[in-house]
Amino acid sequence: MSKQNKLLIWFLFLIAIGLPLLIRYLNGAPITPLDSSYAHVLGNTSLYDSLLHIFTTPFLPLILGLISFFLLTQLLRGYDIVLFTITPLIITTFTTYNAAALFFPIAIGMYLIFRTNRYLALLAIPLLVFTDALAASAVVLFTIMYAVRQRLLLILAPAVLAASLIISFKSGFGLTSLAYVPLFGEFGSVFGYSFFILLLGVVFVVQHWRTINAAHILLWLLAFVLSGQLVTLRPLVLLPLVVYAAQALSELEKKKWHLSFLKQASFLLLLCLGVFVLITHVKLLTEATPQAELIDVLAHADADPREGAILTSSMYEQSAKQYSSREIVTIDNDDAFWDLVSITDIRAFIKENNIRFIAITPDMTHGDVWQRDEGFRFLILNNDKFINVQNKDGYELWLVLKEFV
Amino acid sequence: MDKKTAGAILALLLIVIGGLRLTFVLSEPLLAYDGYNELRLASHIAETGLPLYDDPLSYLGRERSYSPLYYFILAPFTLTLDPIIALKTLPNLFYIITILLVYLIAQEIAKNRGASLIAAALAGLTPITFSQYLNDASPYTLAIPLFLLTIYALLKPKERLTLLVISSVLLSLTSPLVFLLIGGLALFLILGAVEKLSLDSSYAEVLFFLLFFGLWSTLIFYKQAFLEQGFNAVWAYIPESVLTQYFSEFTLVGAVSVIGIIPLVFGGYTAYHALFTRRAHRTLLIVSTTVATIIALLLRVLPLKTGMGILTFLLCILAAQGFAHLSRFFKKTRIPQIRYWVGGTLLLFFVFASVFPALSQAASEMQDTPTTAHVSAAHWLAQYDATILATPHEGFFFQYMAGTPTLTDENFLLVENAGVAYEDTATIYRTLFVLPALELLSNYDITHIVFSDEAQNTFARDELKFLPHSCFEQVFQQGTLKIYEVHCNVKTE
Repeated sequence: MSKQNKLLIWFLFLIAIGLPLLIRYLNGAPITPLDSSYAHVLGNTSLYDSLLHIFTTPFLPLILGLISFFLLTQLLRGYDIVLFTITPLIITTFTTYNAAALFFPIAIGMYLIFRTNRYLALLAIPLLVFTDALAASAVVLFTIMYAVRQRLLLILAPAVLAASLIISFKSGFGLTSLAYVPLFGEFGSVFGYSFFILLLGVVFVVQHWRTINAAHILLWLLAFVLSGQLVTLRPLVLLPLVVYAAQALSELEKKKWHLSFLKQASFLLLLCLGVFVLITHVKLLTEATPQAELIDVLAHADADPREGAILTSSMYEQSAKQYSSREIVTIDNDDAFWDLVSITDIRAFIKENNIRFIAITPDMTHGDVWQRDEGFRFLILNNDKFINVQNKDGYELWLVLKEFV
Repeated sequence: MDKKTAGAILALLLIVIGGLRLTFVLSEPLLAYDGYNELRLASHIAETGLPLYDDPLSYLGRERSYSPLYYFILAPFTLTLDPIIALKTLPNLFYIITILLVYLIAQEIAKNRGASLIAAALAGLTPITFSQYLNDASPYTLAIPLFLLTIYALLKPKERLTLLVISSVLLSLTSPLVFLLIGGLALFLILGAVEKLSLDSSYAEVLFFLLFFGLWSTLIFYKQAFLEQGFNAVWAYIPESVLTQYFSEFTLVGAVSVIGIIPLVFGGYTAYHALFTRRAHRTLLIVSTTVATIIALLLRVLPLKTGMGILTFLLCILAAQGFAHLSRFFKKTRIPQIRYWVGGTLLLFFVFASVFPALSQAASEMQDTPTTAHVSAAHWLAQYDATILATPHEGFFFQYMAGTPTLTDENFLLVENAGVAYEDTATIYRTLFVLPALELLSNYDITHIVFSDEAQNTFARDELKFLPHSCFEQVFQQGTLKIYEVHCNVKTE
C-alpha cells in the first residue's frame, strides 16, 4: 500500500470514529453515546471497566480504536481495511464504552504475536478472559477447532447447522432468538454488521464455492450465530467477512466484464452504499441517548432541594445514574407498571421507593413505553398529585407532591 | 403467421383490452378508495415539487417511506388534466403495455407469433390481470411493465444493455419489485451451476449490479422504516390482524380460478419441460422468476393480488411455449387440421372460463369506490377543523377530499402504533358502551365519526350501538352515511 493510501485510510478511520463524538460535543450532549456505555463507567466487573476507572476519558474508545487500527494495518492492506472502517459495528465499538473495544486489540495483538512466538501469545489469554470470559472461551474454542481439528468441523457440520438454526429461530436457554437480535447496521442495529458487506462476502463464497474450505465457512457461520448473543465477539467475526468481501471486490475489479458499463456502475454504487451506511450510522450515534435535554432534566431535579429518587425508563438507567446525584429507579418498558391508571395501585410503589421525580422522554411517549396518552402517563397528565416542573422538547420532569407520598 | 398480421392482431388486442378497461374506469366518476392515496401523493409533488414524507393527515400525523418516481411522473398530469381523469387513464395506459411486453417476451422464448398472441390475450383477459389496478392508480401499474421490460432486456443482456440499465433503474425507483427479479436471476444462476449449463457470465454481472442498485435505492427510500422497524419493514409492518385478513383469501382452488386453468396447465408444462428436458436458458430465466414469485408469496413479502397478477403474467409467457409445442405436435399428426379444432375449443373455454369472469370481476371491482354521499360528507367536513374517525379503507379518501386527519388508513409502514390504532377503530365501531368509545375518541382528539356502508360491512354493525347519547350529535346524513360530532372529552385537564 502506498504512503498516500495509508494516510487516506487513517483519515477515513479518524473521520468515521471522530465525527459522531465531535457532533455530539457540538450539540452539547455527553460525548459518549449509548446508555449501555455508562454501565462500564459505573460498574467494575471487567478489565475494561477497571481501565475506564484509571483513564476516565471519553476518548478511551478512540485511543483503543487507533491502537486496533494500527495493529490491523499489519494484517490488512486493501479494500478489507476500508470495509472494516465503514462497518457500523466498528464505528460503535470505538466511540462507545464497551468491552469489545479492548477485547479486539488484545485478540489481534495475540494473533500477531502468535505468528512469531506461540507461547508468548498465550499470555494474552488471561487478558481476554478478564475482559469478557464468555467471548474469550469462544475465541479459545474456535482457535483450537481451527488449528487442530478442521476435519472434526466437517463431521460436526450437521450438528453445527442444526444448532445454528435452532438458535436462529427459537428462544431458549436464556438466549434470544436471532430473529429478534438486530444484526445489521442498515436495519437499525447499533452494534451491527453491514448487510452490503455480507452480500459481498456471499458473492466471494459463490464465486469460489467449488474450492472454498467448507470448514472455514462453517466455523464462521457458527461464530456469526454466536455473535448474536456475544457482542464482544462481533469485531473479530467481522474480520473474515471483510477479507472475503474485499477479495470479491478485488477479483471483480480485476476481472474483464462482458458488460463493462455495469462494472463501472456497480463500483460507483458500492461507493455510494459505503458512504450511505457510514453517514446513516454516524447520524444514529449522534442522535443516540443520552442527549443534552435528558441531562438538563436530571440537573433540574438535582437542583431541587426536595429529597427523593427519580423514576424513569430502564432505557436511561445507566446514563441517569451517571449524570444525577439522586437515586434512580427504573422500570422496563414492557412492565405492567406503566399501564397502571389508578392512584391506589401506584401509591405503595412510589412510597416504597421514595420517588419524588419522574423523568419522561419523547421516546417513551412515542411508542417505546406508551403508544398514546395512556396508562401511567394518562394518570400523571390528569392528576393534580403530579406537577410538570420542566418540559423541553418533549423531555419532561414531573414532581410527585409530598401529600401523595 | 406473418409479422404484419401478428402486429395488427396485437394492436387490435391492445385497443380492445385498453378500451374495455378505460370504459369500465371512465364509467365511474370517482377513483377507488386506495386511489386517493396516490392522488394525494402526486398532487403534493405537483404543488410543492417534493414528495410527501412528513404527512400531517395520515394516522393523525406520521412519516412516510415510499419510492417516489411514479408520483413524479403523474404529478405534471394532475396539473394539466383533471387530476382524477389523469389518475384513471395514465395508470391504465401504463398497464396496457404489459400485454405488449408479454407478447414480446413470449415471442422471444416460443418463436411462434400465434402462440405469443394467445399468451398476450390470456395475460390481458384473465380475471386477476384484467380487474386489478383498474381504478386505484396503483404504482404497480408502472412497476409491473417495468418489471417485464427488464426481463425482456435480460433475455439479451449484451444487445439490450441500455434498455436493461434504464428499465431496472426506473423499476428500483418505482417499487421494491426489483428484488423479485434479483431472486429470479439468482435462482437462474444457481440452476445453471447445478445443471452445469454454460450460462453467459453477463447474467452474473447484471445480478451484481441489480443487487446493489436495488439495495441502495431501497435503503435510500425506506431508510427510516428499516432503522425504526428493522427487517420487519419488509412486511410493510402490517398489523397481524390485517395481515391475516390479506392472506386468508389465499387458497389453492382460489389461485387456480384467478390465474386461470389454461396459463397454469400450459405454463406448468413449459416449466417442467424447461427444467427437466430442454433446459433453454431464456425459458429457464422465466421459470426461475416464477419460482421466486411463488417464494415471495409464500413468505408474504409481496401483496397477494400483486403476486398473483405477476405469477399470471409469467405463466402466460411460459404458456406460449406450451401452445407452440402443442401446435407443432398437431402439425406432425395425420390430421394437422385438428389443431384448429383444439384451438377453437380452447378459445371457447377461455371465453367462458376467463373473459366473462374477468368482465364480471372488473364490474365488481368498480363497486369499490366512494359513493356520492362520501363526496358530500367530505365537502361538509372540509369546512371544519375536524379530526375524523372512518374505516381504514376510507382513510385516504377523506384525507384527500376533506383535507382532514384520520385515525387510520391502509398504509401501515412507519406507523408506530398501527395495530393499536386499527384495534381502537374497531373497538369504537363495535362497542356497545359509550365510555370506552369516549375514552378512545378523547385520546385521539377525534371530533367527528363517519358511519357509512363501508363501516357497516367492515365492522359488522348496522349502527353505532352506544348511540343515541348526549355526547354525540348527528350533524350530517345522506343516504345511509352519517356523521356524528363528538361533544364530550373524558380527559380532565
